[in-house]
Amino acid sequence: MHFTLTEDDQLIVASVTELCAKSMGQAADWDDAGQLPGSILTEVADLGLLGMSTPQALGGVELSGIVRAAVPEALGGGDAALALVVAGHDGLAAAHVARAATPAQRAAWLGAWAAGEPLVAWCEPGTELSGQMCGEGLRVSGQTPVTAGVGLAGRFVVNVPLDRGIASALVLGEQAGVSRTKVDRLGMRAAAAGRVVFDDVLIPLEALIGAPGDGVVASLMAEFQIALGAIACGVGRAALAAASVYSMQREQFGQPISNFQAIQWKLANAATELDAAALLVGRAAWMLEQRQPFEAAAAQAKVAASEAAERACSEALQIHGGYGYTREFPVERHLRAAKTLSMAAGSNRASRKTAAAAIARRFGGS
Amino acid sequence: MDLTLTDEQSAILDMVKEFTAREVAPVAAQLDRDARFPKDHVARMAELGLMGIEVPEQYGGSGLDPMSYVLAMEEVSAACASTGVIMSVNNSLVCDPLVKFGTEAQKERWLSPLASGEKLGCFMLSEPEAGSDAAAQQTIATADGDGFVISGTKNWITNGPQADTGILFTMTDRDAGSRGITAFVVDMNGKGVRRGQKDDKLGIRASHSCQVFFDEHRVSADQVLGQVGKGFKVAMSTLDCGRIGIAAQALGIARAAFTAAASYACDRRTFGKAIIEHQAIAFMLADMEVEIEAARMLTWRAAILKGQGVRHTKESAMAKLYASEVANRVAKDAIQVHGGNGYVTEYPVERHFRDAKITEIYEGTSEIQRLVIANHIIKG
Ligand SMILES: Cc1cc2nc3c(=O)[nH]c(=O)nc-3n(C[C@H](O)[C@H](O)[C@H](O)COP(=O)(O)OP(=O)(O)OC[C@H]3O[C@@H](n4cnc5c(N)ncnc54)[C@H](O)[C@@H]3O)c2cc1C
Repeated sequence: MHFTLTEDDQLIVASVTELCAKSMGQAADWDDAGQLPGSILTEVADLGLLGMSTPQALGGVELSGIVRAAVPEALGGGDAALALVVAGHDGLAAAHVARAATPAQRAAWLGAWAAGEPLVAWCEPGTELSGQMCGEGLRVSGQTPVTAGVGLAGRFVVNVPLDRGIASALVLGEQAGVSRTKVDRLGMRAAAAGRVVFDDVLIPLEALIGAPGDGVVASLMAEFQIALGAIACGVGRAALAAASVYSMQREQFGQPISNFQAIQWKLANAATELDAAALLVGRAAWMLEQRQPFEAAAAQAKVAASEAAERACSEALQIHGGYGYTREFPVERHLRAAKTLSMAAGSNRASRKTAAAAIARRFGGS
Repeated sequence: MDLTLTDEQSAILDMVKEFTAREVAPVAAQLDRDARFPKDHVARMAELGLMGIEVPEQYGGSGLDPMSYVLAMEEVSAACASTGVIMSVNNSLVCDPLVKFGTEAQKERWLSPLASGEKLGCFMLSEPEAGSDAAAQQTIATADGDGFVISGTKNWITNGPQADTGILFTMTDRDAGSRGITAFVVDMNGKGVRRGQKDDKLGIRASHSCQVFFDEHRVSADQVLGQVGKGFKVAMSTLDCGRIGIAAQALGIARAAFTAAASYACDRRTFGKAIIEHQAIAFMLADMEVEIEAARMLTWRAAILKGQGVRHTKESAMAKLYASEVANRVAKDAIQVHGGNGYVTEYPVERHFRDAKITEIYEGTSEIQRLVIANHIIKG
């Protein structure tokens, strides 16, 4: 048993951390603009982060589940919006195709996607989308749930609930009848979240991914909880680091405020809770990698991490006092991101339901 | 990241599970009610090699790693937290410093009988006026001929009423502060050692603690553990390891309370359904499990670091702080899940609630753990 990454995996994480230090000083501006710049997406593509789930033979870098959970944390420490967009592109869209698409589709799409050409947003199934299979393909009307990356992506993977299960398909942004709306969110604004809107659009047969009811969508969403937990840990740790540094610099009553126990307590609590949450994320990733039932562990990790991050960010803001409330310091942005993470991809209420259902099964309830 | 247990770890876990299920769990409530020291369990734990788990086999121990210790501690404490602390003190607070700081002769004379469980040990740091501020020792050891003469009072000494051997902290140089502290290994039945009444406690009632009085107790120079003036380091390094054991104890208590609550919630029906089907109860159970798993990860991480020989002061403090607070929250909520039944001794959760509280106090209160963690963050 051990709790460390392999040396190779540590190098990958170090390169991501380095990218954050070098290229993410502008994250606050991206947040203001509500848009990630193309240049940062090129940089993450160059590091291979858009092809982590894509087999090497198809142009990806194909990383283990363990490091795929460590990358979003490192990235989330730089910019949570970027981490979320990358996780949607790689961990949902590309992983979906790698797992369920035909060899021809995989060959046609995945290589380009690993290079970020184009960026793909993956839309959860929602109740406002309806579809019908017909001879030529899938006819779709309505709109997807709010999805990160919609404003940045050139392609979408949409998941349409049908009677016999969820039908998944790749949709081109420029297709007639397809439009997108922008949704201004509290946090991770640079992820350019929005909805994809369908006005009676026919998606051709060759764009359908897998078969309705193949269960892939549910397992991708369960796995995504791990990535969200990891991003939350990154956000929380970034806020904690900012608060630690600030508390040693800021002087009141003739001494650094880090001398006061009221400040020390906040730091110690946040560090402990974030370590605990990060270990739960690692545990869930390991269970997934071991092909053990991981869904409850993933839900636990997401709840623990997003709530630990919210608390850490909130206390970090408090430690910064009035300055924390301004955009001059990064903590208010971290707090908005953390709050968004506990709402994203099914709120923590849904995650708790998953965790509770597993307990009920184990202890003989319904 | 790899959470696979080794064959050896799995084997000890299975063995302890069987022992606790058969022998400990069925009598834990009665032991608590009678505040009776579990002599038979201690003898059985000695036979099973649980009193010196990490001590090398050449000194009568089991020669296992810290993970094995943590796994065993969680199991024993889930069944009976009193038995857990008796075992923890002997392993972490007595055998451990003898392994780490003892001379070859000390190991043969003192360690072997403790590790094999033939004798029982206690750890005497706290005093009436020195708890969190452990360096404020009043017990004095005065150099005298080729040895020392010791006088003073130790407080709340777990295993004190039963112990044969003790690790004792004293002042040898009052002016030197924490650098004037010296540790000794002492014979608890020696001349000038007297034990007080056993303390009447809220929880862990089957584990006994008492005051120990030293009145011109004479020890020889070869009973100094480590070096003269280096006793505080012995104490702190011992507690770094001990806290992992208390984290595991807290984890065991939390798990026992959670298990009781989850089973109860599946059986008990109100308003036409099992109470686990009411979301307020289901989510309470979900939160308990999230926190227990997190506490377990922190505890295992600290144990693994110890096994790797890496410094783990902060990680031990985090494990102990988090696990002890989780144990208290979980035990409190487990009573809530049980309703009125949780408040009566017919159900186990009120005992878990009382037992959980001590884990936030001994081997450094939660406040002291936060100080340790914060110092690591601020000073790097
Ligand atoms: C059942 C039991 C068994 C025990 N077993 C042993 C044993 O085997 N061996 C042994 O040596 N000791 C033992 N102890 C003693 C135990 O370790 C001490 O009780 C503990 O360290 C706290 O010390 P104290 O009780 O003197 O509290 P105090 O130090 O007086 O603390 C009182 C309160 O003030 C807080 N406080 C103190 N200093 C600070 C600070 N700097 N900043 C913020 N808050 C602070 C504390 O956290 C606590 O809340 C045992 C105690 C009990 C109850």
